[in-house]
Amino acid sequence: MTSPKSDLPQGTLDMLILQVVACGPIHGYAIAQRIQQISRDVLQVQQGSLYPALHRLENRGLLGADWKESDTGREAKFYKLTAKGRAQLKTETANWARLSEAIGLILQSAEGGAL
Amino acid sequence: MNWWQRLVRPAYMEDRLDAELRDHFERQVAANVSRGMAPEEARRAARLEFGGLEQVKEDCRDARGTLWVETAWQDIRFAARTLRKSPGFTAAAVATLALGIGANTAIFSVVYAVLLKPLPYAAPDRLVTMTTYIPQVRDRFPSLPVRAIDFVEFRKSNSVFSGMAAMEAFDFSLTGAGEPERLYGARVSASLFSLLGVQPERGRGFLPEEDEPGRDRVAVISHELWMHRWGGDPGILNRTVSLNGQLYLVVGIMPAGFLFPTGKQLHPLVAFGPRVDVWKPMAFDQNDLTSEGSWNFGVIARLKPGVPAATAEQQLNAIAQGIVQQVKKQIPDLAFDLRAQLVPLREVFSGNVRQGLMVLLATVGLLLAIGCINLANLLLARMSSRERELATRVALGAPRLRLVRQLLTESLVIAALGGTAGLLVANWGTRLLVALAAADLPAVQLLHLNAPVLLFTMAAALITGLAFGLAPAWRTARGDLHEHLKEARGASSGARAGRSRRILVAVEVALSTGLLAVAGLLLHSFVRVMKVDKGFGVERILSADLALPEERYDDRQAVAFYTQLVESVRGLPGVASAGAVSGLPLVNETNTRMIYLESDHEYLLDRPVAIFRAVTPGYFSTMGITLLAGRFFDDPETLRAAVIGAALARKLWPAEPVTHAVGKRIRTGDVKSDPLLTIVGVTGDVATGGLEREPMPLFYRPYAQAPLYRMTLVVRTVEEPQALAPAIRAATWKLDKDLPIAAMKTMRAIVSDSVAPRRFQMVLVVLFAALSLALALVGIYGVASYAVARQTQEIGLRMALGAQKGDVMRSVLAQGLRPVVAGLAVGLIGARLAAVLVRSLLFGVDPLDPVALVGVTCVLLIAAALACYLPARRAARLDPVIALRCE
Repeated sequence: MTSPKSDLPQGTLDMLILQVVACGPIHGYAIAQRIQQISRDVLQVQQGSLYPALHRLENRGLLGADWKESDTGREAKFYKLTAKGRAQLKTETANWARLSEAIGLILQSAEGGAL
Repeated sequence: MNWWQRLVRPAYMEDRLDAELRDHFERQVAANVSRGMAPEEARRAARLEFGGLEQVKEDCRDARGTLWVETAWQDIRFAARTLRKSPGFTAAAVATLALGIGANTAIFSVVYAVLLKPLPYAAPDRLVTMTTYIPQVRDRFPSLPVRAIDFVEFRKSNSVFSGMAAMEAFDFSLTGAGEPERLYGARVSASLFSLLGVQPERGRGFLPEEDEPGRDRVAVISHELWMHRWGGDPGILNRTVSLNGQLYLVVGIMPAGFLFPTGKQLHPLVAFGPRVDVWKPMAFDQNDLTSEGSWNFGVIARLKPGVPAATAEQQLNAIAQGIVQQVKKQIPDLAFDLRAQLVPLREVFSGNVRQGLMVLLATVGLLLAIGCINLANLLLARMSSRERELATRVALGAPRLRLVRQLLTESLVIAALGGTAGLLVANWGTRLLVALAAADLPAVQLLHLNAPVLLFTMAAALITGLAFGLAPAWRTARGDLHEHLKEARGASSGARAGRSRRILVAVEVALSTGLLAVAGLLLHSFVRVMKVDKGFGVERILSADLALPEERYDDRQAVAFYTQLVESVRGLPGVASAGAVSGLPLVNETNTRMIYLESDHEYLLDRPVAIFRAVTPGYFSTMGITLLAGRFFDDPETLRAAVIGAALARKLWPAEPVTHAVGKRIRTGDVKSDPLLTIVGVTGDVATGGLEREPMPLFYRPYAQAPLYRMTLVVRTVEEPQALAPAIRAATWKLDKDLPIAAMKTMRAIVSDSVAPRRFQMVLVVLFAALSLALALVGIYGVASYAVARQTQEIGLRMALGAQKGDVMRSVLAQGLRPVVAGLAVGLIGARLAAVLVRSLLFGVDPLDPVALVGVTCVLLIAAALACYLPARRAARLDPVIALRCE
């Protein structure tokens, strides 16, 4: 666990959560695990930010939730994407793609300029 | 998780949040264990990683945001807690509001049913009632019903109505199985039901061909009669029943509550029964259609779409011109004209009660206003004692707006409770109103609480809540609450609160004075009405309406029947005297005749019209009618005789004393064909058409000379009159076992019924005024007690310096009464204006009636002095030593 950890830019956590939840109903712990796993341990989500974010997204109607029996035998809260959430994810992904492309271009040309 | 769950199950929400985080924690522990940690250490690591659990939870709650409903709910729960802590205040406030809102709702439901609710007919806005008038006699007859012959002409020639129906009262005796029963009925044009757009609930309405004589033996009955007489047996349809000794086929049953004019609603001269049980087709016969035919028929018509009433009237007047030409062909020199007028049917059912109802509505409105002022007063008093609490909350960081909202919420919670309790009061009140109003308030049968009325209540509750909550909330928003933390006692702002409360009391007293004055005027009017010289006796007189069926009786038999009946009733034990009359005073005034002098030989329209009454021997003495000159009828009467009332004598011979009428001769009815009658006696005036109206001209004929089939038996008894009812019934049935007898009424009840609308109005206004006085007294008492409590130290000081108990009492009384006197002065000015507004409801009293106004002033001052006396006595009994120490 010595790989460097990265702080998430403001607002990106929401998008990551939506992306993870888009794959199917999933509970909070698994969401954190997934983000960590996919990012190869670069991104670690603290409970302190994860749960308020989940509740905020649920309150805005982007996520739905059901209490279902889980693998542990206990009931767990499974989040799923609502139609509104799906649309939001789409626009945010597109925005992100454009933004990172733009940033990439700037960085490239800056490098090019330095050469 | 929706807002509703959040609102009503906050604990559940917390529980779920807890479970979710716990699940995460357990999974973390499990993961740690699987990575090889010992269980204890796995938990510790997970806990470390989790950080502050409470912080996470708090962040989650924040993330959900606060819903306004949640804050509102908090406010409401907080308000409920606060109100529970002061049950006395809450009870007083809720009771005041329940009373105010309840009374308002009850009166509003009457107003709604009578004035606002659409009539239960198809497209009721286009329904009108048509009457005629003769300009030459319009001062005496502002409107007349329509003659049959004219109705036929109007219906044939007009192009403005899609339908026209005539109707008149036509009562029946129902015989056959069971006791004979007197039914109230109506003859109506066959098209009436389809014209109104109301179909029978069973069977059918009348067919067009049934509107012809000979084919008209069909009847439609009311739902109520069907239930009461046949227990709702559908087998009655297409069976024959015996009405007036003839067989009628029952073809239809009207729906329950079918609205049809009752009493004199449609026209003062077309008097239906208090309800209508049976309808038969009009089927005009030759008798109806003669040109001399009387002005008997009420008319309801439906305007074609897009035709305004004014246009229709123009066309009808053109038709009327044609009718006048016809009449002039027969009587060329008669100064006679005919006009038609239309009135929306709606006004038939709201009748002349509009103004009275508006006065009632204004009265209860004022009562509610006084209630609100009282509440504002209570709240202000409460605020004074809560100022420190509020100041503390501000100091602890509560936003001022939140406090204002909290206070308003409290008011609204009280208003909501008051509104709910008010609905109960209203429910009970409307029932009371229906019972009180009896048959005289039209359309009141249709009265029940419904959506518009509920909306009214809710609006009333909301507005009152805001109205009385605003004052204290405003003070909070503006006032310098921090002061109260600094001083031990808020003397300066206490004085300010005292001043606003005194102003509120003055306003309350002013409004209450206005109400009391109006109530006093109406009460005095009522006393005046009851004191009117009726001209007949009231005590121990019983009356019974009888109607001999024309099918079984001729004139001679009718005379024999009533003569025998009066004889045999007179012989009953407990009977002092008995007689019969064709129409009782105050009840039946529709049988009228034109009166001509002996010297008249032509039709003259300016001759008086007089009420006609046929009487048997014994009627005058039984009723206690006084004889001014001449004699009553002999038995048997040998002359063609008439006895006239003093009013008729004055009309006929204005220059002579009424006693000089004896021996003069008159003609009644037709100047050409009717015989001369000799006036043998003149009686004192007898109240006609209502106690409040000038006695109408009136003449009597001996029954044997002018027999009628419908008569009213009157019996003067020695003891309680109703006790004789069974014996009278038996005596009647001994002569004719098939004769129905309607409920027997005492003369006292008849007089009482005739003033029912006035009593209804008076009782309610007096009741509301009394309630307003009670509320004002609570306000006066509250302010005086508060002042005493606040000045305890000062009073103690004065007593310690030698002030006597009397001085203290006087000063408290003077202080307490000052706003009362101010309010009274303003209120009396207001009462002057209010009295002018209700002038038309007054009888025999001036709008500035000193009895009422002085009475009101005295009542108010005495009551206010009593309300101040208790706190004054408390002040006088203060022990100076304790008072000085009191904080």
